[in-house]
Amino acid sequence: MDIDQTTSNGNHPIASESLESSSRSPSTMTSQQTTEIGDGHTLQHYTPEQTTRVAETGSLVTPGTSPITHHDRVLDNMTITTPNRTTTTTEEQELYPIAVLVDELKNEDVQHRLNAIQNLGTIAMALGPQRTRDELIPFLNDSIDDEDEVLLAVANELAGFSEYVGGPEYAHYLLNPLENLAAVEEVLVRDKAVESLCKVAHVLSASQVENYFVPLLKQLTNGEWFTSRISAAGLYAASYSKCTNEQKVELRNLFSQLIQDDTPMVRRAAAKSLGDFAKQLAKEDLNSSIMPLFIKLTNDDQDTVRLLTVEDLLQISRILSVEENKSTLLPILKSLAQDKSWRVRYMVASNFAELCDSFGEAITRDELVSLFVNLIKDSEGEVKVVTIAQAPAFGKLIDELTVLDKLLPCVKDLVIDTNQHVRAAVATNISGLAPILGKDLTIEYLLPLFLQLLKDDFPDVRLNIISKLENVTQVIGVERLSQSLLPAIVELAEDKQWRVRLAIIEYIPLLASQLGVGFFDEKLLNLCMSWLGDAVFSIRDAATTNLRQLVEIFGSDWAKNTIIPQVMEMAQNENYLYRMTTLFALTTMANALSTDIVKDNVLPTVLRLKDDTIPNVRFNVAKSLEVLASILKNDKTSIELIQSQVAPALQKLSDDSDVDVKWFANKALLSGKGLILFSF
Amino acid sequence: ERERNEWIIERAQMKARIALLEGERRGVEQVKVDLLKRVKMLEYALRQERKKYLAAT
Repeated sequence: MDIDQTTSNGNHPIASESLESSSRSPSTMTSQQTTEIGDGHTLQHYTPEQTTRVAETGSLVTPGTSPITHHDRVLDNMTITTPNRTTTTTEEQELYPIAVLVDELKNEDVQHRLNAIQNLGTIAMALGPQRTRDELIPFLNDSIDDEDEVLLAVANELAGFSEYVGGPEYAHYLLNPLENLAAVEEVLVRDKAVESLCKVAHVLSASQVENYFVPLLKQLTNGEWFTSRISAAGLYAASYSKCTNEQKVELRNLFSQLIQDDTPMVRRAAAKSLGDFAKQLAKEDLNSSIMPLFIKLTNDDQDTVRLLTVEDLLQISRILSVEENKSTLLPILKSLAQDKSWRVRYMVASNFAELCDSFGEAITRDELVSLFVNLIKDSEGEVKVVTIAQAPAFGKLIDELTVLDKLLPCVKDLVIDTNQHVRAAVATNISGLAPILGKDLTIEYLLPLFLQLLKDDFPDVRLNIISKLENVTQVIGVERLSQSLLPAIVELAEDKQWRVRLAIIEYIPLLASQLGVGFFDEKLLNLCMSWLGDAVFSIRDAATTNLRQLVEIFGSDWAKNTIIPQVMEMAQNENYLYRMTTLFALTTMANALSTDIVKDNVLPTVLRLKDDTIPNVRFNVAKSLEVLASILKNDKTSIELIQSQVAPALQKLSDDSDVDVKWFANKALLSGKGLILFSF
Repeated sequence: ERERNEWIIERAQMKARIALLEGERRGVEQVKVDLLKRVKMLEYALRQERKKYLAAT
């Protein structure tokens, strides 16, 4: 039904409109009729109360000027028909809400059409509930033929539309347009329509469900095209609880029909929504009508269908009792866990801990441990990765002895797995086992694995193990950990490969924050300082940034007492590279230090280096003075210091014989002037 | 020669930018027209409602 027909009650449609010149029958009729009238004249008629016609460029037809020529527009645009009365004003035609909408939907820019739809509520509000039901909804039903994006917006809008059609008692009016949208080809639109339908279903009363929703469900389920059947599968759970008993029987039959559909797409959709539907069912109905079909679904020849049944299995196992789980579901789970498709095994593995939880401890201990061991030894890396991620949660459900006997040997194998992603996953999750095993067992069994992982070639493995150290520290204490960890770290820190050393430096701040200041001072501080004297520049550079991060973690007082004295000592070193490193270290740290420390300790050291014999050192002094000055300016009392010490020093450097020194000194002076620090 | 090339490239980029901005402006203009129309529509609907209300009381 097109708009003109609705508005004119179908009594006198002369021409009709259609969007985007779609080849619908009314538009062909238009052309016929207009040609009959001939000579490019079309008669225009008007209704009393509404009914509009807005031709494209605002060429409005005013009453009184009845025959108007716009023959050329008639074919590809909408024209408007109305029964003949002349009481309407132009304003009315122009502002008739549906005409406004039609007009907006004619825009060629998709974004505009989208805007129009997103504000559909306004149109409905202007129409009022009665006319929204009688005119807007039928219009949406038939006349929308647009990009998927726009359809998606329509589906989205309709979810919240019940207030515009007159409240929940009229909400069933929304079902029709949504039903059409649930049958379109584009998945996103369909999904959105289903989502909206579920929302609408929640506000429907029992009789509305009976009279409108269930028929819709039937129609979709029996739809010829698989798209409507897929949409139907998602709708059962939403309406089931509101149905009468006979209808419930019917719905169950319809759903089982979907489960046995010929196309895998539909079976997949059915498998996806089976879990939710099962939750709504009474237990005996579930056992009698759905279970046999579910079992069939788990043996489907398509692995994409089978893998979706794992989630259902989880949902159903939560509904059934422990004995029922053991007798019916356990065999299914076992076969799924040994499925020939790795994607099915992957699904089982990723839901393993939850499955164990709903099956109960007894079954877990007796039956599921061996399944888990099989999965952890799987031939596919992906399966191993998700299985090991479940290990800590699974370990909590079984006793430590089983963990030790069954699980640990597998984990040991994984530590030397050839797949680096598997090793990284082990490194992330292995520390989760420490709280389960307790102190002594962790030291005895897990620690060696830790150390082995710490020496892994793949950086992610080392990072994962270090970032999860916290769990282990809680169990065995910092002391014990440091005893075994430290040798490994020191070894890596002095590795011949500078990339390995760099990797360790990057983890130091993380490690320091986890192990605490006491431990750090004692063991790792010297290591950090020795990197400043490394032969490779990248290492020295990383070490200075490392120092800044450490200062951020431990605070400036700690820096003043431990790091700064050692760094300043390096300022006297004979090798100019060491002296330069001092400058770098002090400059990068300055941002994290308090102004007092910068003023008392850092600044004098830097200033002392300004007379260095090597020009490289001198221009680096200029560079670092620039940074220091901008830090010092925050403090009122130190501004004087800038005037009396920094400015003269820079002045002196700007008269240096070396070009670079001059250049950097002048640059620092300029930026200092920019900050209004120096006045000359 | 190189400068000339750079100049041409820059000119082309400027042109593209102008085109983009003009397009945006046209879009915004159109949105404005649509919105005005909607406001008018709502005003009209409100007037009608009010008439009805007055007639009823």
